[in-house]
Amino acid sequence: MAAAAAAVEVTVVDFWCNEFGMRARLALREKRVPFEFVEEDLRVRERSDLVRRMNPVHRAIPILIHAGRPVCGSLNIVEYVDEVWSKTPRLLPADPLERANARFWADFVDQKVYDAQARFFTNRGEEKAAAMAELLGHLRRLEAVLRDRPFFGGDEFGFLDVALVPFSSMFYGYERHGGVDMEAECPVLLRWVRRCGERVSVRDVLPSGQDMYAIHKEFYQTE
Amino acid sequence: MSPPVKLIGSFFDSPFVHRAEAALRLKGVPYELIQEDMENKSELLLQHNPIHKKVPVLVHGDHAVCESLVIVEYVDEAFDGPPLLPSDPADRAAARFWAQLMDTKCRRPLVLSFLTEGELREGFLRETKENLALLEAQLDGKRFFGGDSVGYLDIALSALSRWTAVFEEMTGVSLVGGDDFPGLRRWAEEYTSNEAVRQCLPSMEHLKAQFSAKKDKVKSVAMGHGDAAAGAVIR
Repeated sequence: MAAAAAAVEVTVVDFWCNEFGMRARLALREKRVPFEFVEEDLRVRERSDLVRRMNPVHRAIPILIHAGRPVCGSLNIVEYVDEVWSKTPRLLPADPLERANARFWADFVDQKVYDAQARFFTNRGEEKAAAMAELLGHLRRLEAVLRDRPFFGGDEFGFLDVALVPFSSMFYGYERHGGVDMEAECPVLLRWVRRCGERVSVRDVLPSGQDMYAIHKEFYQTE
Repeated sequence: MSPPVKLIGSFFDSPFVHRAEAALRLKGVPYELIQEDMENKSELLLQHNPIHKKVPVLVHGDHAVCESLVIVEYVDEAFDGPPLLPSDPADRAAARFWAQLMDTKCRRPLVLSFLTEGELREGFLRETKENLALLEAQLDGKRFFGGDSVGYLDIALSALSRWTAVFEEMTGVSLVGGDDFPGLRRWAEEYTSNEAVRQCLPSMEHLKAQFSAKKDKVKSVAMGHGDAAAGAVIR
């Protein structure tokens, strides 16, 4: 009984193909925190009772529920997990400047990468090409941040790795939808993606490129 | 001894720059303020914030920190002094959530409540009042969002104090200063009276002059940014 209660102390409300939600699930797995995954199907228009109760402001996912209390905002969730389960390897570095850099670039992913990706899938013709050009520009900026280190966190998989790696599951989509040769365009990033893919957490959380592309075609109603 | 701190701000008294200054003053960190002409950006700014080319930028020794909320957390972590963020992880997550809400959901309709008219204004006012009601509930009768002292969330929401008061006076629209949100009204007075905050708060007169001159530009920027957080998936 007690073991069962402890096992569901942490719940993540999310949808399997949500790149932001993958951040939460990656963080928990990296920290070896058991959790219950409650799926919220984003193809259904109405949000569930649970989501409306736990995130009344945005009615959105992902939501982490810990001992009954919700945490909303994917990067907030990652920081929360890092702070609560602090004995396991840290995701955010100890140094304040490195922390600021990690937060800045994670915010950059949110402000720039996600928007350009959405425009790439929803627009056509010239606007689509422009969105992809912009997106590749952002990814190259991130390659410059990575440099020749194994991870954005340095020697260890960290906060910015968690923030960005979910988006790599859309790279197959970029190739199929836009004829982009990601290996040629972002070879440094692709090496990093493969290195991340060796981690159990990443293999367990990230869906295949094919599955991501298929469901996003459904969302964006592209053919 | 810590290397010198410079803060790149602008001649236009931005609430984002204020966030950085308030954090520095509350932590007791001496700094040099450099004011940029945003129509004519300097090499210093472009060198230290090549990505966004915006202010504030904190320059600590050789290193730059950009994005106002990132700067506030950096100041909290890099320097000694009273903590700006709460210590409990759940409270910290909540403070960050509400701070982000200000930028992604509240700011645009708030600004446009003042700068538009007629039906458009009514719509933005409705949305703003819903947002303010959420914040009023979050404040829950406390003196500050952080409790007894000014903290991260108070700093993040500071545009609701002096800047909103100036807009209200210039347009006759009543929001924080009215009777609907007594907690927020009292909070705004407390925030603007705080000793450290006062030193980096632009005066009502100064802000009025700036808004009069730049009203059209502020409006076109605000109208141009759609709701960045719309949709079922949040960041």
